[in-house]
Amino acid sequence: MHSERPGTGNVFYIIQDSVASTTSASNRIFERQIRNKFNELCALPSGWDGYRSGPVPFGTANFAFALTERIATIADAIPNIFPTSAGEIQAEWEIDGGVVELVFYGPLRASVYVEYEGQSEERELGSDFTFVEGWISDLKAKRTLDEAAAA
Amino acid sequence: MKPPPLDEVGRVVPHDHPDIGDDWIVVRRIHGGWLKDANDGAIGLSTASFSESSEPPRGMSIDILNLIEEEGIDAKTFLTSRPNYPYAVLFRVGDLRALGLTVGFHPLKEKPPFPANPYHGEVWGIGDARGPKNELRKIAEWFVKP
Repeated sequence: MHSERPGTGNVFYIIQDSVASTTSASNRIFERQIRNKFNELCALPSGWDGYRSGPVPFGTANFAFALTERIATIADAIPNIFPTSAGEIQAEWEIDGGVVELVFYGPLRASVYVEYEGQSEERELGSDFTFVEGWISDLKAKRTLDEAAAA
Repeated sequence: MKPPPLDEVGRVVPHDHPDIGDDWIVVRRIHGGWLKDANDGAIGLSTASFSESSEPPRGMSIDILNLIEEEGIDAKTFLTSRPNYPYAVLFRVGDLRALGLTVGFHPLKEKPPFPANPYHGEVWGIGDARGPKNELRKIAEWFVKP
């Protein structure tokens, strides 16, 4: 679906409700919140950053949407989501003292930065996000072990 | 201020402008959507604030404070004159160059709906990696604070 924004001639797109539908109520809340934010980014006015940047391209948002929703589900946390002046989307989580930042540059082009206990790593990613999923799962498993040890 | 170097079709090319001294100040306008809760003493900004533009010559846009003040303009009012970007941070040019970045002059002509900006410059060399953006976040100081 796309709409004309009156007065600007710009076209902006609305991410369809049917994208990446999930089952649980909490996942649906994540999905809705992320979709709403991405729709905002695709509808940013020209010059939104104080200079001459345009909105986030729909193709970037569409690629980022399903992956962000999936990582949010694994992390059980909604990220902070930011546009950049280059038309990118950056999603940031702070999970159990760790940091995960995903940057979506365009369709099938992204990078991830992870940081935990003084260690950090940055990688270019294509469509394979298993590294991110594995890292978050490991972090959550460690938290479970720590909690069990402390009990 | 000497004009910036141009390519064969008249576009500004990335450069380190010799008239912009290390003691000069440049300012980056900050969109409200880039703010985040401060932790570890950080400025409360996402590294997303410090990306280069996707358009050539692909630098991070800045305003050159020394040029604005030379004209007798109130910089804080000039920089935050529209509701989308009510804040701004400043950088000392010498600190940017110490990071290996270059600071150039790129005055912008009026291009509706955008007004001219004769004080516009760009910072080149940031790239896509998080490291330089995080360094910029560390050295940025609030000029117009939330």
